[in-house]
Amino acid sequence: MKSIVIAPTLAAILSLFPVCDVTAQGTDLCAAYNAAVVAGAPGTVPVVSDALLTNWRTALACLVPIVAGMNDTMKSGSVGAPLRAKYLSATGAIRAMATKIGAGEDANAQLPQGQRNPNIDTIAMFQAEFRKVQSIEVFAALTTGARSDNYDMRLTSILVLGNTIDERFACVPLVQILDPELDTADYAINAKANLLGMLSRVAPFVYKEDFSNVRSVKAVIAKAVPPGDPRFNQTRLILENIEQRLNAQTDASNRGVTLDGDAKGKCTRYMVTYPATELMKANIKY
Amino acid sequence: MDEKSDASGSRPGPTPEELMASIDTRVKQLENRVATLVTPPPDRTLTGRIASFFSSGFFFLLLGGALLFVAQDRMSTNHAGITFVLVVLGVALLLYGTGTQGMGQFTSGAGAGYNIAIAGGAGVVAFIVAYGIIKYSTDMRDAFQPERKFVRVLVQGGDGVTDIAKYASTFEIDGVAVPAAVKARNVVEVYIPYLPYEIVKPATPNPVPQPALQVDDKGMCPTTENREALRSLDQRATTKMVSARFYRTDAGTNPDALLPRADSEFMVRLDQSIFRSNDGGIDYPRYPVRICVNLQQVDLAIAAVNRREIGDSAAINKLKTNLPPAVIEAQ
Repeated sequence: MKSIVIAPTLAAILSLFPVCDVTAQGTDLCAAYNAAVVAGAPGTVPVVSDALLTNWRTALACLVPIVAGMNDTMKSGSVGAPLRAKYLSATGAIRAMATKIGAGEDANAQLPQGQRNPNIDTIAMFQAEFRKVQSIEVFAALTTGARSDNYDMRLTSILVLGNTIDERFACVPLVQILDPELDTADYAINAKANLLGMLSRVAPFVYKEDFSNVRSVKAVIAKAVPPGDPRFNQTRLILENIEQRLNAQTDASNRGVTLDGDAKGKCTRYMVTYPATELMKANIKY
Repeated sequence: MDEKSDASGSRPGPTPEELMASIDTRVKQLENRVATLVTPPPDRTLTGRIASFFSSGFFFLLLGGALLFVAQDRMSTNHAGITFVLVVLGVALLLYGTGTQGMGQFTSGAGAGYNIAIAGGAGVVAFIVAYGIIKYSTDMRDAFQPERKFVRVLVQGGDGVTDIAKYASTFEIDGVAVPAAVKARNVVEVYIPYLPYEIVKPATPNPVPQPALQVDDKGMCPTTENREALRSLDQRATTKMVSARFYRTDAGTNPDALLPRADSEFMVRLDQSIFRSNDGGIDYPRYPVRICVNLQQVDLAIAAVNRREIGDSAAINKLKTNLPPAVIEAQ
């Protein structure tokens, strides 16, 4: 128990020295974050304290692996209460940090040129820090959350993915949007709209393989949208947005570059072990 | 053979005249003995008077009355079970103090003969009370409850960002404030008042099984567990809509994540089944469905996400200039 008490103190002390780059992953420092995301009482969702999030680099290095670690138990859009609480707590903390950094960056940008703080933290820094610890598992867990049966999970997942999704792992939303579970779930319209939003996000930056994969999957989804049904208005809007953003790519952008071998291998394994359906195999190719 | 024996060998009984003579003799003997009895004089010492008082019927009348007074006086603070015990004990002592009266007698007319007598009024009343306790246990429980009671509803932040501890909150029903207290780090317990007539027993049993609910109750945490709990409630039960107001008192280090002020509403169903539950001996039952409030600045966060691209400036510069922003909206 002592480590739980000491670790927040250490985090608070380290937050006074933001230049000190701590590789927190795998150290006792993460014990405080591991403890902070576990619900104390059944049915509650813990909120990671501001003190633990002050040093956002350390917090990110600890929280992202926690989210990635939940991927193995998040195979469905519906998860149990303890896992949901842990997921919401960890992703809520990441989302809160991104909001704080983004708000600070925006406020700084609105200041007159001479008064701006050149050393302020930015979302670009946040994304760069996230990529140091990211994995395909983290995106898999976040994408599962974005198509969850729980609104809070969908909201926090979208806000985290919106800031951090990596175009090299566009395969994750591509595969999950064709999950047969979404053919029957009553929350499928919302879930698919969220995943299409993620594809819209990465569309201008996807590589050659995913450029055609996004087009193919988009066509499959569009075909299933009943014409004139007002419940699908947002879906139609996003589908159109994806097409517009794909068309923003040029010969110099990523659509002319093949996906790197590492990402391609991970995506292939991800789809095969999902497991891949015939629909996935026909429309997602690496 | 004995000459007094008859042909069957059995000895003949006394004649009626002999029997009456024998009884008269015995009665005279008893009268003589009674005449010689001397009644002891009453004990006039202090100890004797005290002992006499504590064994008198008057004492038991006083004791019974005192217990009934205590039961009535402390009813608002005592547990209903204690009140019940005091009342039953008080009534029993009152009856004992009034003395026992023979309430009935049964005499067997054959063989050796035996008598059964219900000894006293207290015994009869105790028997009737015991029957009544079993028969009317539910109604008795209601009779001993205070008129206004409360159902405890847990209101919490359920999204991993909303922290109720950073807010001062008020709750009201139809403009009337209802009490609430902080239950845990991110949980507030609201006490919803109700009156007995609001918990109406349905005239007919549920004619059809509860259908799967299509819509969540307003304000409830949208989780599978809560939907299960909601399904167990009678959908015809009286409902109450509770208005909540939250005022942020602690902005912390991240004021942009949470709203400075927020209003919310949630629904509570006064299903009588939850009021029959025994929640660890607590008189006020706990509402089985949890209420969640979302105090996040969602629009601000979504707008911030949509405003930025994930690619770096080099990647963005390779795109056409008319790049529309992504359409991201939490559905």
